[in-house]
Amino acid sequence: MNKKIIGYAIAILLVGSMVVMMVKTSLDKTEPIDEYLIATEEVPGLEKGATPPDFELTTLAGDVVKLSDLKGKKVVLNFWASWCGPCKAEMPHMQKYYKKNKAKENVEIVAVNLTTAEKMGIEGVEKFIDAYGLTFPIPMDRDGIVMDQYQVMTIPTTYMIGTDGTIAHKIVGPMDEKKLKELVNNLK
Amino acid sequence: MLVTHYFTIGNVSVSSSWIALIVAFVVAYSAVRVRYGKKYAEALSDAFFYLIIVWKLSIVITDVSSVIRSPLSLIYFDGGVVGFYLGLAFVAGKVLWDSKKERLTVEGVQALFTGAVAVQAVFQVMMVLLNEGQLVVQVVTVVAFALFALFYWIKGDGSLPFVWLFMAVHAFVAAWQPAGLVGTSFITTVLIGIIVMVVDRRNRCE
Repeated sequence: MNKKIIGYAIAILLVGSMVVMMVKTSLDKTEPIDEYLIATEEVPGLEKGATPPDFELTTLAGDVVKLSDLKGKKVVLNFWASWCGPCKAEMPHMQKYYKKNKAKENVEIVAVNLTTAEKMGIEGVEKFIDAYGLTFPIPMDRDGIVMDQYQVMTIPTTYMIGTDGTIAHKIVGPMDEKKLKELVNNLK
Repeated sequence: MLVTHYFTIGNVSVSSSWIALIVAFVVAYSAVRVRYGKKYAEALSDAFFYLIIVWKLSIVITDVSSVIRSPLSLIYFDGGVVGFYLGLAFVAGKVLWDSKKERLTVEGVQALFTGAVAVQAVFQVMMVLLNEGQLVVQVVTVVAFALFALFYWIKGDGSLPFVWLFMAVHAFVAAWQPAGLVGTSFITTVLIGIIVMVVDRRNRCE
């Protein structure tokens, strides 16, 4: 008796699964308007859903990086220093990810160097960038203002920012290529 | 369910899936301990330990170059999905080996299966509570797994009909979820089901 009831339940569940899968595939084609694209009032802050403070910093090559110019792209905003162990472990993963996915995923990596915390000065940063062959923009936070604005206490700290310019996640600690990929994929 | 939330504990960000998994294990351990006693609860925690260790250390296999370049990668990173399946394969291998050597009784298999049901049910409910998602998917997930866990706790005995029912319930829930039937958690349930069936068959032949 018991076995029979369980048998029926299994059959119903499996048929139900198939129906759900079929309905889902046909519904997926008509996705509703993405609510994130509807302009809402910007809330400044560092929490999830808030718009982080804008900044304008210069890279070693003299290029100006302004965060608000990147709106419309997914942004991986990383804070690092050349003496930090976990940053060293993370950098090759970021570079590898960047090389493979920059164009494909509409993503930009901005790795802000905490220049005030550097022990070897600009030269040390230059050596680091060369040694790791980093090609993404590395703006220099020479006055430590951006570091304070973003409340960076431990490095690496990374803010994942969606195409609408709001924060999706704050990740403290190093990420490998797999995790970076997963996080960027889930960004709107 | 998708991971949409990270928690900052001390100096590191922890994925909500880790928190869900730890809570799930604590509940499963308690459930097995209450129903089957300390011996089997420890067998469950051994299996869990092997799964986590293999998953964590499998970065040696999945990404050798990172480990050579920076040995601390072993601490910072893990083997990802591939590493998780390697861990699962290791645990499955151990269960099959123990059953071959007749170290695993019918009751032992039932205890481990009960643990697996509890881990999966609590993990799914926790993931809903900790993350954002479509309301209907969240309701289906919580209701289906809570009802099944309750039914299993009252009536279940780790016999094959319950193993099939467990897989069917999860298939139904997975059909609603974003990852569908190829998501890691559903594949895990199927693998657990297969292992239990193989061991059950072997026990019955002997």
